[in-house]
Amino acid sequence: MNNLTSTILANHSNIQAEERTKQGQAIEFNSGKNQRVIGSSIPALEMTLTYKNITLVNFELLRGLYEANHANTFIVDADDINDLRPDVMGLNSSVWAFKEFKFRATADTLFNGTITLVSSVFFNYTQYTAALTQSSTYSPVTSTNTDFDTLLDSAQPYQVEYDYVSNSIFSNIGQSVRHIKDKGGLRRKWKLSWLLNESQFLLVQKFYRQKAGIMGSFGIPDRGYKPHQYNTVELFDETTTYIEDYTDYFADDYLENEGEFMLVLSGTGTEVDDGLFSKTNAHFMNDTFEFTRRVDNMYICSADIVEAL
Amino acid sequence: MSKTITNDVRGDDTFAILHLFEFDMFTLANVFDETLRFTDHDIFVNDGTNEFTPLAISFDKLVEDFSMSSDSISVSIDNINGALTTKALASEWRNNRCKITRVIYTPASETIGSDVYEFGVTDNSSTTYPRLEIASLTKDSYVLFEGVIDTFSATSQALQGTLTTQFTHWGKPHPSRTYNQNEFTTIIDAMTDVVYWGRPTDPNI
Repeated sequence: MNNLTSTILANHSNIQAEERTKQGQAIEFNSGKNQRVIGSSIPALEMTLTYKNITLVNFELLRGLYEANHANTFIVDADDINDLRPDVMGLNSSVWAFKEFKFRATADTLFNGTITLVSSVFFNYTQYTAALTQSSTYSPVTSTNTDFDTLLDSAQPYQVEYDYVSNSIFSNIGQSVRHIKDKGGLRRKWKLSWLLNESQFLLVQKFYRQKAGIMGSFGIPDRGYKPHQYNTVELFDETTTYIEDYTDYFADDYLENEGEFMLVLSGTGTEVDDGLFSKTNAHFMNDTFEFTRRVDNMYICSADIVEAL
Repeated sequence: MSKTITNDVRGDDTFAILHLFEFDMFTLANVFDETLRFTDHDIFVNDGTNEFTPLAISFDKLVEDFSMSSDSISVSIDNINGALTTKALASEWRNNRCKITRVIYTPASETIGSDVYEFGVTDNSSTTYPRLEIASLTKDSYVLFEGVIDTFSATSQALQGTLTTQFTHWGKPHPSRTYNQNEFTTIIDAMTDVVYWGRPTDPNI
């Protein structure tokens, strides 16, 4: 069973948790007495981790974890919320399952979002895992179609939300997950929001009509928007000694270690493609396209786009 | 079956309930295969002899009445991953024994570190994996239902089974049949005619 503790618990800004212990109900009698009857005795937990302004690199780490574990339980040693289960039943009982994964990127290119985990009783002991197996699959379908890229050149969204459409089915005991069946077909989902002038909006509207809503498919960049073009740059230190070519301008290290660098002397002019421009085959999720026209001739619209497997 | 219910914990204001399910499985050649044992508790339950696997399993209300008619009860068992469907199709459930036992107990206290919890999580002295050993607990344990498995149907989410009491053998001497009214000119004809599997007794008709 995979241990996701270090990545999941890094970089979050807060955890919202709810714990249910001894699940059952109280029954009132005419005498005024009540009888408390419980059915499940293991603490059932749900925790929502909030991440604020994390970088692309950290977002992709979390996204990778979700895609690799969306339909299986995994270990998270949640000492931060005082999970009682490891103390009572051993470390192998601190297992969880993904319930929700939602992020969004705004124009500043930093990522905000939440991950909700729910406790599982599919403990990491052979006796629990031997009878039933679990696994997660995700097979993204790439596309070379550039129609959407062309659209984004003229009509960039101001916000992109990231989500998933999952086919997995969960079994539960009380409030905890028992185990999960991966039925395949995990799909990425984007919600793009635009605020556009009329000529830009007409391009978006035309694109929707050309792709016939849910019918057509096209390639959408993994991020859902086109990052600003950036170049390979040469970094020099205080003594103008060459250090290295730096191609990961938007990754976190450069900003964090900014003080170490003195000069950025030249850009080679080469557009860097380190996976940011890889495209996923997708289509519109809805057969309607809603938009608002404001009195100042600006248009507000949004579209749900889902991966087409 | 015994319906004797002791009063070990039922007088308490607080108690825990779990159910133990047993289903006998025979091979298609009618040779006893195994007994499947499940519990609706959230960890393994051991009654001193057998281990019951925690699984999402529930049943609807059991109704008994004076008429001695065949009472039935529906159970819904987690079938995610299709393991039970595979088992059901490779074995014979129908007409084999099933039993639902209700266990009412007061969870024993548990000490974790230096803290004492009045109602503990497990009562486990002999295994490293989490399980509840009920043999030595103060409890009421009685058979809630005992009968045979009648029919089942399955989806990828759950396996639904119908269990009937053993009286079902009294109430079903013949396969039941629905008459087609077209075979008779009047209702009275249908009521009075003697038919055998849809064919009139007179072969000349």
